[in-house]
Amino acid sequence: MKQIDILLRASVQKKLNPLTDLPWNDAPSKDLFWMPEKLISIYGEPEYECLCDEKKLELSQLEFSLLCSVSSSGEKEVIANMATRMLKTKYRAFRRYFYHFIEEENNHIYMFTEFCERYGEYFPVLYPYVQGDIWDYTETGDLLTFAHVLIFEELGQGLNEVMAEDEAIPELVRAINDYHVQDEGRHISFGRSLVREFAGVTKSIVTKEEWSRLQRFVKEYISTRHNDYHNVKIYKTVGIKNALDLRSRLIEQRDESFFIKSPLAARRIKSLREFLIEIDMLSVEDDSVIQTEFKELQGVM
Amino acid sequence: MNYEKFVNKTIQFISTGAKVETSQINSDTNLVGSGIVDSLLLTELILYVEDELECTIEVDDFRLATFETIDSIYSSYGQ
Repeated sequence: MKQIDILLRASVQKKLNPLTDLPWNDAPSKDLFWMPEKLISIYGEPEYECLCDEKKLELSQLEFSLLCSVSSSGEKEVIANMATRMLKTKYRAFRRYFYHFIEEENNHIYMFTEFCERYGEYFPVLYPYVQGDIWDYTETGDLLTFAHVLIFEELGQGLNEVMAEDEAIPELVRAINDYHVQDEGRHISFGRSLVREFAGVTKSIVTKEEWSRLQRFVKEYISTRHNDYHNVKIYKTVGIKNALDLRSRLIEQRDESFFIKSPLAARRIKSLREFLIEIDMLSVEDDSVIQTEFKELQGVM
Repeated sequence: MNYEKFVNKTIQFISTGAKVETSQINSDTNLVGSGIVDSLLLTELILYVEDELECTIEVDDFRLATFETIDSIYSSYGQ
C-alpha cells in the first residue's frame, strides 16, 4: 500500500491540465510528419514505398489522428470498467487512487479528441466486448479488466515516448505525447500493483479450467492490440488499393512486436511479459514462441 | 452482391477466421451465440461487410442484433 500512497502523492503534486498546459493554438504544420515514419503502420511495406511524399505526409497525419482515436476510445473503456469496480469493498485500499486515475484518463480523452476536433479527424473505434458474462467467477472478469488496462497502457506507452522525443514533429503533437507519457508512467506502476495483488487471490479461488481460459485471453489480447492501428478507411484515403487485404495481411503477420519502436519499448514489453509469467497470467509455453520472435526482432533493431 | 454469393463468401470468411469447417456455418447460424465469432473476429467481419457490400456501418449506434446471423447482416446492409 506504500506504493499506492507514493503514486497518489505524485498524482496530486504533478497534476496537469490539458486545457491549460498544452499549446493548443500552435497548429501543427501540414508540411511535417505528425508521427515519425517508423511508426506509420505500413512503413517498410511495398505499398508505402509506392506513395508519393505528399501522401506519406498525409498518411502520418491521419495515423496520428487514428492513434488519438484509439487512445481515447480505449481510455473510455478503462474509465467505464474502473468506475464499475471502484466502489467494491475488496478494492477499498485502491479507491483513493482510482479517483485520480479516472480523472487523469478523462483528461486524456479530452486531450486526444480535442486534437482530432481541431486539427485532424476522429476515427470511431469499435470495442465489441460481445462475449458477455462468460466467467464463472466475477473475480476473473475483474482481474482480466485490470490486466487489459495494464497491457493497453504499457504497449501504447512506447509509441508515445518515441513521439514525445522526436523534434522533427510539430510541437503540439510532441506535447500531447509527453503529457500522456508522464501520466501513464504512474498508471503502469499502479496497474502492476493492482494486477499482482489480485492475480494470486483470484488464482486460488477459480478452477484450473477458468484460469487456463484467462491465460488464453491475456495471450490473445496482447497479440492483437496492434489491429486497431491498421485502418482501412485511412489506407483508402491515401489511395491504396485492396486496403482491406493489406490490413488483413499486416495484422495476421504482426503481434505485440508492432509496438517495439525503441530499445526502451523493447525492454518494457519484455518486462511486461516477465511480469505476467511471474504471476502466471501468461503461460510459459506461450511465451517461448514470443521470446523467439523477440530475439529476432532485437537483432534487427 | 446478390444474397447467394454473399452467403457463400461470408461462410468462407468466417470459416477461415474462426478456424472451423464451413459445414458448421449456415446463413441462419447464430454467429456470436454459437461461439464461432468472438469479439476480434466480429471486428474483422464488420470491416469485411463494409468492403463487400460497399456500405458504412456506424460504430456509434452499432447493434449486435444486426450481426446475429449472415441472413440478418444481409437484410440490414445488403439491400
